[in-house]
Amino acid sequence: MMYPQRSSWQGSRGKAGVSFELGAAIQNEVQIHDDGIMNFGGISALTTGPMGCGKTTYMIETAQAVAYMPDGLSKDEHNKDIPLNPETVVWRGRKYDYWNSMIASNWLRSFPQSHVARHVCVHVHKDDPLDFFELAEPRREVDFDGVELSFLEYKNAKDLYSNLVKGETNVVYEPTEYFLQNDVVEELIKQTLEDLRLARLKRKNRGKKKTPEDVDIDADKGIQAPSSVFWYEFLETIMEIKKREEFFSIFIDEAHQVAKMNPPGELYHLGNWLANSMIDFRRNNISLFLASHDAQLLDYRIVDRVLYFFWMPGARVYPRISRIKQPLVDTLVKGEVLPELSRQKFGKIKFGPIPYQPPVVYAEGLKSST
Amino acid sequence: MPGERVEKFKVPDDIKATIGRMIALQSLATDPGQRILLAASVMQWIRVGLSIKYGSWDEVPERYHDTFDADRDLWQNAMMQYGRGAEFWSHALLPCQDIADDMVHIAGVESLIDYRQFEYNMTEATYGKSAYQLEEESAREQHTQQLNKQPIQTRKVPGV
Repeated sequence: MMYPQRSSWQGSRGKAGVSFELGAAIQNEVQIHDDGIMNFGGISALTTGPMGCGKTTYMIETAQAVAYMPDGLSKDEHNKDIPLNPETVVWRGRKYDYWNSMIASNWLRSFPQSHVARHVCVHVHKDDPLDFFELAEPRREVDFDGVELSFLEYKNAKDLYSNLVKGETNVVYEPTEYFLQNDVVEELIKQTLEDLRLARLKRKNRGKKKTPEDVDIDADKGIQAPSSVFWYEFLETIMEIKKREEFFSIFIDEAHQVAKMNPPGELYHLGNWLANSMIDFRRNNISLFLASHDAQLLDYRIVDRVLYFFWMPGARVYPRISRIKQPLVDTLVKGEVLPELSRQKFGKIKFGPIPYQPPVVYAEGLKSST
Repeated sequence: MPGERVEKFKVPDDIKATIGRMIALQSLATDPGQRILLAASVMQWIRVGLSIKYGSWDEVPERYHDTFDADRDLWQNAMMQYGRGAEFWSHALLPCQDIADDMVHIAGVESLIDYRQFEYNMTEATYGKSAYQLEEESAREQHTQQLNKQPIQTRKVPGV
């Protein structure tokens, strides 16, 4: 007797049936990168979940692990005998941040068996007088010893790129006052923003007798924009001037501060800048890791281009970007994540805490929204 | 072996573990009805494993098709015997044992059984054990050593 033929097997599986094997495979795809022309290249990932669900811990642990395959090998060929090259990590610095966990001595204290010992370099804009403290009792100033932790100032995005310590971790604090460079404005006007300058100039000249055409943009500084827009320029700059064989991973925690949902006015057009850059990140070996409380807090043009999602306990999933059903996410407990290649495959992984997490770093002189 | 079909895909560990569990359950079941149903489940899951391994059921070697056909007949016979009443249950249980023999043999030969509990902890896989885990292990070891050093206290029984 022959059984009726079935082309594929499908079945319903509860939380216990979600595959750790697939989860591990997805985590490896996100953590290990290969060349964007010969193979897949950079990836984009978004980690979502409510406050305190472990997003930052997970981002730190991923940031310490990102690496790329040597000699143009595909990541599918990865095995434990192939030594990986560490990527250049760019971590967006925040007013209250835990980047000090990534300092080699702190990291090795938490994970004595780890082989990761990355140098951490903090980059601050030259006009920003920032002071860094660890909020212990009593609070103490962060010691930039130059060995494990160093400090550099930058003038602009190009300067910042040349200052980046390659293959190590770079914590970048965006400028507190950011001005769009004139060439950037001109470029944007050329692309989409025909009315941007006009609208600004009209506003500037309200009540004046001059016609808008008589007044030009401030030649020295350019147009002031929200600080977070610096990231749009910086990412575009990296893509333009970086050598293709350099691998970068950009970590933006609280990404809604950089690419928020429903950006008002001209910021909407600027959002397009980042969204367009994202398209070419993959080929240029740039990986983008975002974290936010909810996917809907971010600009849809960004979220729709994200490849991988990491659903933390308490996260809200959306059918348009995910094939995971909400009740499955609702069963997660702290330390569990559902990694998903958007609408294709998903699995489950666990991650642990950072045992000796040093006190939070406080950047004095920075706005609280950063 | 000439003419032998080749393996196409790796059977996921999850499915191997499921097959392992089904076989264990089937071997422990004492209720005839339950055992009959579990025998069918074991057959289904091993069929799934073989289909994945060889790409489709049609690609699975012919000898397994024959075994499955024969076992399907055995299973139908067991079902009928079970339905006839309690005095025929031994006739229902015996074919189930034959099915189990065949299926465990196929699963074993084709490496379709896995009892490991695969659990991926990204932190541990990437950075090894954390300081907390190492401290815990060390404390546990010290505690065991201390216990081993202590002389075993025996209670004296009066009059002995």
